[in-house]
Amino acid sequence: MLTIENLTVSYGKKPILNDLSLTIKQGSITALIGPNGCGKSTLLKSIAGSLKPTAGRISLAGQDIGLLGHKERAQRLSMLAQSPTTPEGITVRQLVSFGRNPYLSNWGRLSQQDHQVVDQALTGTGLADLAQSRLDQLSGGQRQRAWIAMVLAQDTDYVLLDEPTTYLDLAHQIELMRLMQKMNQQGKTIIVVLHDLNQACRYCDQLVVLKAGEVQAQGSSEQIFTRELLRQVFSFEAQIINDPVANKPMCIAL
Amino acid sequence: MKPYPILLSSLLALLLLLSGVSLLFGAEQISIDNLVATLWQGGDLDFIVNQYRLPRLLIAVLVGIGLAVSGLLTQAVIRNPLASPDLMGISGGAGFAACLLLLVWPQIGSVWLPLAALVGGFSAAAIIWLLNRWHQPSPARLALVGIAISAFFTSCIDFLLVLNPVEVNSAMVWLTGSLWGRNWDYIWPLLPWLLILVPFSLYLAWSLDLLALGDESANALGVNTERLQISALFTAVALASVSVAVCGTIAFVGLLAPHAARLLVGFRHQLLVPVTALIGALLVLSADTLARNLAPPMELPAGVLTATLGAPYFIFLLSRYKGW
Repeated sequence: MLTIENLTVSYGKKPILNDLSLTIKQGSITALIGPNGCGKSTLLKSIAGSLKPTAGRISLAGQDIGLLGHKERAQRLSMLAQSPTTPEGITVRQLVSFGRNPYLSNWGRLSQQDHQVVDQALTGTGLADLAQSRLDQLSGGQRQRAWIAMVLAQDTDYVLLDEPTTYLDLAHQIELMRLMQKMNQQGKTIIVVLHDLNQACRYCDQLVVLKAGEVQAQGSSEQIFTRELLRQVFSFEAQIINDPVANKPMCIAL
Repeated sequence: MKPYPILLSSLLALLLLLSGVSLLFGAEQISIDNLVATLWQGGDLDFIVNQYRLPRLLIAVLVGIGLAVSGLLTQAVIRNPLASPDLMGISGGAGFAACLLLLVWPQIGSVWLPLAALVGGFSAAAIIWLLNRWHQPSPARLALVGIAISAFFTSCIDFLLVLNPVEVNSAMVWLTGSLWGRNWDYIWPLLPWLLILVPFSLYLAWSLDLLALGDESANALGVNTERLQISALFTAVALASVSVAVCGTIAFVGLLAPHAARLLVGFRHQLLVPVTALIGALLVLSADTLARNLAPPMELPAGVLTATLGAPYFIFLLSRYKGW
């Protein structure tokens, strides 16, 4: 279980997250949604440890992650950043092997077992045949799968994804959501920042709705995804209908 | 054999060949037989070969390694193709401090020069840090701040030279990046620094690969990015400063060598550190050898020659870079 208690995070003097508390069940897929600037990415970065909280505490199974060493934390939590940089000339396999870093010494030498984990991550994302290709020569969808494979190679119970679908076309967005569900079935707890509300309802077990650095609502889409919520948080009028395929709520703007 | 060992041994072979050329040619030409005999047993040519050309050759190699690896580390941390110790004003700061020491205390031993240069180099780095702490500096901004700092230190040095006209000659030669008159006394203060800092750069190499993904991703992969950036920058400033202490600012080596190495071996720093070091050594050694042989017995400073090569490349980088 991931527990966030009274978390406050500020850039300079301006608080982005304000006394935020939240609990995330193990084995779930949680979508963080909210308007631009509400603090979704900040929350994700704080959980991943790349932003230091001004106050409050984040703990995994009761253990404060602020007290863990960098590699220790990275063995339990992985994150795919929103727009990571691609080093020129890196191959898919080289990128995926970076995921093993938390288990390696500073010299970065992979053991036989590390290579096996990398192979599994490549197979799991359907990239085994492209392992030796250069990342910058792949399509957008393939490239995003390679980044996911890196996160898989990190072999953590918790996976954080920061807007993983942003630069993808619809077919690849769906492919990515299914990959995410597959990872979840293999036991990973996933927290994902999404912009598409209908995708969040359809593919995630739980929604966490943020506005101005505070949690406005939390629960399954059936419980909390209402016209009032959309009006209050996202400032638009919508009709909520039942998605006939997945039997989940979906919204249509009026 | 794999391509990387082949590349590394070719570069080494090239360096050995160039070293031979550099020992043979100069104001006085020496035959190969005489050179070998002198290296083993001394003799008539002992002064020219063993006391003059050989230490100078070794210093060129060491300084080339120091400047080049410093540039590689700077570029890796700042993720800026224009970053290098001389363009950022770090060499200027180191040069000013060493020059100050030379003029104020001309009899001081050469052991103290690197220490003075370190103080100057780190002061310049502190100024850059202060000027950029409010913004994530764009490549152009950083280059501009660097140029301003370089100009500032150059004028400080000019001021010193005007105040002390008698001592000007040797300081002037030194400032343009010359290896003239460098003997064994200058090797011992330099060597231990490189023997510590270059292996340490190799130790940081794998983490620097991860840092190339961006701070956030590197951090999520378990890299202590803050500690890594500070250790790499300290190493870079120290390498540049001790190199500058020995022979002044040999311009553009820290910019050119890492770029050339990346073209040859890609992004992995464990491969880049040795190749960058060798290319830096080759650059400085060939510049110095040319400088001694273009119009003997007169000498050009090696820094003038590296700048002739480096300045057009810098302009090329500026024109190609679209990030601003």
